[in-house]
Amino acid sequence: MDGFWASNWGNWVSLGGLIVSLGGLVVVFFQARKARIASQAAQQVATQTSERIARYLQTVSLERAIAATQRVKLLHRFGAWEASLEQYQVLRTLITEIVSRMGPKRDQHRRLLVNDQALLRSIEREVSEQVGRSNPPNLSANFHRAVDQIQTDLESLTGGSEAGDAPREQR
Amino acid sequence: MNAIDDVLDALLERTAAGRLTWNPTATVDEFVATVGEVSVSVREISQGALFPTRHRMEIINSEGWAIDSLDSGEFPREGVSGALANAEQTSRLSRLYESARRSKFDVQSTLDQLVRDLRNT
Repeated sequence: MDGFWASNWGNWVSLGGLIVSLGGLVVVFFQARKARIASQAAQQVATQTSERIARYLQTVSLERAIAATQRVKLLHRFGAWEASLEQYQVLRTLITEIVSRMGPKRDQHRRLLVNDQALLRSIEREVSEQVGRSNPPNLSANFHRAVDQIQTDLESLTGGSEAGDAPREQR
Repeated sequence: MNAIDDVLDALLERTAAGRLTWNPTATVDEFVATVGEVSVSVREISQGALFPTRHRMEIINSEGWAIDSLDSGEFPREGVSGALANAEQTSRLSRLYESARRSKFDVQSTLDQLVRDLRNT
């Protein structure tokens, strides 16, 4: 019997080594799995945080854009056309920010705001063409409707979780 | 044929097929259609009794800048991207404006309805 152990000790040592290695592999596997789960959880938290920040920034931009629209209407009412021109730039920049933050599922909202940028452009052109003339600008009913439309679109976006859930019908 | 011709053709075709929605703007003689992240505006510009009415199409990006334009009567200003329409483009621009206007106001259905109402009176 002693002879058997003596002649096969190398095999027993190898077998022991194999068992230890397998045990080590199992430990490594579970550690790796734990690390992966922890990393996924951390990634999820990071994503949720960045989404929360984006939502917050989106809300701030929307509120600022709505306030800018109200300022524009006020300036129009008082005939402060040159000051209006500055506000159009502010509004345009804010709408650009809002559009750039919209998620891929917000195509309809994006289309509305892209359309509003074109509306804003026509408003801006009308005013800049008439600023400096001796007569006050002769603006059509469409002009005031266009400003109202931009405000309505922005307000409709403040209701949803990301940037509004119920956009108006495409005009 | 350049890109702006392709755009004109596609706009005319889609408008005729009723697949493009033209919306009013701040002025009564301008309409805008949005496709993806780009808007196209088409406008009729009256130049008084001495000069013919001209038409202008602008391609507007999502930031509200006109990135290209085609005008049937005015050279683009310095620093503004755009082109003066040739005779054929002028005719198509005019057709596009008219199609957009008719599409927006649903002229065909209104006329059909008018004819029906007149026949019934």
